Amino acid sequence: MKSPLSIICELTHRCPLRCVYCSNPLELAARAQEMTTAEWASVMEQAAGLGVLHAHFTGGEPLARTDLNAIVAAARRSGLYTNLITSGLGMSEARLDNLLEAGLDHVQLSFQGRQELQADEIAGTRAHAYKLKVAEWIRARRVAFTVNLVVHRRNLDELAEMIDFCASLGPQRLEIANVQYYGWALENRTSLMPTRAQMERSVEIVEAAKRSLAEQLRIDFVLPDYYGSQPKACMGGWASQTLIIDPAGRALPCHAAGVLPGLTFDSVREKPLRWIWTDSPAMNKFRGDEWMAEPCRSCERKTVDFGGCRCQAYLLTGNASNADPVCALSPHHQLVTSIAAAEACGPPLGEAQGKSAEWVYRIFNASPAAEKAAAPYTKPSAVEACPSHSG
Amino acid sequence: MTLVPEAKLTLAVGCRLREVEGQPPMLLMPEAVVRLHGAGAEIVRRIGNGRTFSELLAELHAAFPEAGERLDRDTEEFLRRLHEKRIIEVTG
Repeated sequence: MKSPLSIICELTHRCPLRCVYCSNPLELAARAQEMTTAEWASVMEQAAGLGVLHAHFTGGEPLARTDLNAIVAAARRSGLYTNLITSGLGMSEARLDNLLEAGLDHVQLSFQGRQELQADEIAGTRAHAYKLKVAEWIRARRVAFTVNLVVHRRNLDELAEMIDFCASLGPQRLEIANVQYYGWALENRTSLMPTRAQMERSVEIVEAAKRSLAEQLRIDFVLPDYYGSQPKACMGGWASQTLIIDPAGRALPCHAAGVLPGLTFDSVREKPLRWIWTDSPAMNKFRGDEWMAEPCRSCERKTVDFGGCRCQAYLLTGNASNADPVCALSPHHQLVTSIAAAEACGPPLGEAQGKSAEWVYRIFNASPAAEKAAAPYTKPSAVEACPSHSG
Repeated sequence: MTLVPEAKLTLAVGCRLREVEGQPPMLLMPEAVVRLHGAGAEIVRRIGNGRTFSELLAELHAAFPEAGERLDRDTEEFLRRLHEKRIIEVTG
């Protein structure tokens, strides 16, 4: 049994942002369910004992936890490399200094775009201006700095300008990630799906930026997988390299795995982490190839992409053991191509384009349908869809 | 990258040497881990404390007197590789 290399700690699902592509599950964990400082410290120690090297602190917004410093310090005491994945909201200069003193190695700061209005629409709150300040504080200190930019149909047309904007913030690394359709992003897929033309152009833009900015920063690019013909090697294989711990202590092989029916994910509150990783039924469910259906089982790429993403297979085909339908060899591949073709239409984000999309913003203790119903009243009207954007 | 004798070598921000008894030495950095072999850890440990290229070579020759001239070549090649991977910074 290989050791996991990294542990992703969802310290809380609380977040001042309500991003329309949030990868958190639709059922967010409430504050009362969250693990204590001591429980997280124990997880850090157990993870290091299991061979984990990197600890990623995410959420929700990890800064929403007042004990973040103590958790980072516990991770460092256990010998782990520490990474804070943050929106920046909740950060102050003093807090950043304290985190660095506790041993924080790396800060990953997310941006929703380069212009305040558009970025804040995606975040569902006013956040962009504050993020700019946080970026300055990070740059002024000696800590590894990554800017994370999430791209989709609404902002891909200004990708080149967004890359210049992100580079001006001074990170050593820029991660440009297309939205992956799980959690809240799946709810908003129709408003986020890029067009094939945007996707093709974005590859050229990123390649050009990698060359022109090579001296300044490294760029990593995550492609939109609905346009692929070979699936991604999701998480490097099910329960193979990475462990995720949710706010309540449940151990998962990926962020989205909670959607899979019939699996019980054990909690670090009840079981040792080592047992969960090596022996628990859920972690072993999709290891190896015995679970695979055709065409995966006899495919020579099964050790390269592991049949793709189990969650995507379930969400799109109804069976988690099927090949990820992104694969051109999948009998369900047409599902993906037809979804992309049908949904990749509509206007890009921006005032000039008129009416904004109908977003499903993340919210606690409510189903997405309830959130839709709770949207503020606006004057009823019948607006013709613009023919040039209707696909 | 020019490696003049007075070039100052430092570990890039966010790169950290991990040495745990019974485990191979490793360089930890954002989203990556590099395992160090041979004299790699000896070199990285010294760079972590700030060295010029000539200081580093002198110390390595003292630590590995049997290595002779190839130590200079090997060290330079190793440093170039670390620099390409943005693991070290070279100034001056």
